[in-house]
Amino acid sequence: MNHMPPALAPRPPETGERRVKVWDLPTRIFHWGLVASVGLAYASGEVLPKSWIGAHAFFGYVIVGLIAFRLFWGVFGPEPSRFKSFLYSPRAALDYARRMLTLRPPFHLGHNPLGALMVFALLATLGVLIASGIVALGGTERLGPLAGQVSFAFAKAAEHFHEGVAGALGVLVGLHVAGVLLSSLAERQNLIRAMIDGCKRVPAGVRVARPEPARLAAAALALAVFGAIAAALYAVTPNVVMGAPLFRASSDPARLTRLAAYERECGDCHVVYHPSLLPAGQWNAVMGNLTDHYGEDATMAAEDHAAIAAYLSAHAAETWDTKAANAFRIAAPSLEKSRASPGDALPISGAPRWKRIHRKIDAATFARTDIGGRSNCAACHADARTGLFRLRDSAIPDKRDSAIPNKRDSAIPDKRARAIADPKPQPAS
Amino acid sequence: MKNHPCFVVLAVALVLPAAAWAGAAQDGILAETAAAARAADPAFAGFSAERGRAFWSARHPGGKDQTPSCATCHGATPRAAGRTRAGKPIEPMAASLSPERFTDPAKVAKWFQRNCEGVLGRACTAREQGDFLAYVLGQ
Repeated sequence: MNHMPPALAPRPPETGERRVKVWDLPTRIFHWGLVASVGLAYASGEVLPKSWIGAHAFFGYVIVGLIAFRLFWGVFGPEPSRFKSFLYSPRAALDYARRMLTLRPPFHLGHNPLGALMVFALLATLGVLIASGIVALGGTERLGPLAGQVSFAFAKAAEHFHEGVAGALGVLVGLHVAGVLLSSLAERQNLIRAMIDGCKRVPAGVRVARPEPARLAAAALALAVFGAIAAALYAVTPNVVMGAPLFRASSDPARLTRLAAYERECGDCHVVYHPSLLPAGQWNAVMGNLTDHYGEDATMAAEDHAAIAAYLSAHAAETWDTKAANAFRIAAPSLEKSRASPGDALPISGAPRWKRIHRKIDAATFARTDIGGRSNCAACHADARTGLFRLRDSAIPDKRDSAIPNKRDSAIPDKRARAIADPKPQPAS
Repeated sequence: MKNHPCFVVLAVALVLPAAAWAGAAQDGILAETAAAARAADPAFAGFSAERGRAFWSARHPGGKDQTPSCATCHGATPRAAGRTRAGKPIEPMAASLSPERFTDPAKVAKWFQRNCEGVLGRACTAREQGDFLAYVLGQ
């Protein structure tokens, strides 16, 4: 029996089968947090209705935070979590694969070479997904860090790219699960349990050095330095990126100054259609034929008429880069022929793009008295007045019992909905 | 507080003229319409809210098919909110619920001209306008 204190006594190398702690708690929380976030992001982006895009973006931001942590931890964390400890050559990965198929893979304390490859592939794919998502969100919905900073065309391309990469991620996730199960089988390890309780079974006869712990002092110092540099950069050069051609700020349609005559003369009978919803030629056709304005007499005083016509022309679809303006900017040539008479102006809801966007909504829904027809955008789009038509503010309302709305319904019910529908416009700049 | 009744009286004294102002504008429009009705028909004996009620609910031939009656867009009674053909909600016409209505003669004239053309296919006579006003102002 050795009487030396335990800390000083030399420990004989352990060679029997034993359990060794591999994955620290932060790494494990990161892993399962990522699983949950990716799953929820997929569900909110692909399965649930489009109005859930706010939740989808939220989970995307959570994933950003998780990946940022993982990158940081990959430098400053304990050894099995550090990237340096599982940077294997492709040859090593192939070698491992071959050995795994013969069910005699070598023991690795941390990630095996194939698993390591999957870690980098998943992180890279998620990074690309996040970036393309932020671009798409900024240019189509005018939300997020790049709100209004990206052209609609670029954002739309990013959206299609985003959907493609999401499919690729699905494949990767499938491969990852298959790989974990195969490795578990080949190594006779429960790798899933290892990622839950952090311990791996080390086979008899295998020596493993004690892994280095996290470098917390260095981590704290690095965070402080990085934070200081980031703050300085942000304060000094916020416009360097935003001024680049791809990132040209576009005008916010919600901030268009209102024309009182337009609100009064036209808004008495219908939703105040944002000027970006029709090209200038269509507005002129409408204003040129007010005696038969879709079956109504909408004539008005001459000075109001002139002011409104000028306003609509000046701010028509050609002058905006929103998704609505892009959808309705071009009047299809074939429609020119289908009009009954030259004086007929095609309503916004007659545009082929409008019909395509609303194709899944049946006629019975539009016929509901509490919705009031295709011309009443505000029935389903809380932000119709702003011209943004954000997905998060678009939803078919639940059916109400009364055929005619009561007095309370004529005002938009709650405070947030009012703020969405009626944001304070900024003075013209 | 001893001064409480004074404050109440003061508040009422300030509010009443405002309410009376709206009432005065509406009375002015009624008076002008009465004058026009008398000019059109010397046997004119005054407006009737009951005739106005019948006018509101009747189905008038001669106008557009989609709007045979005032009630089509404005609701069964002036106290109900309505909806335009484009689906936009209309505040109730009843003066008690919407006191700012019928205070601007130009606006009243514009909407009579538009909606009578749409519902009746012709201009409303001064007597019809007056009956209508008597009905909604009393609701």
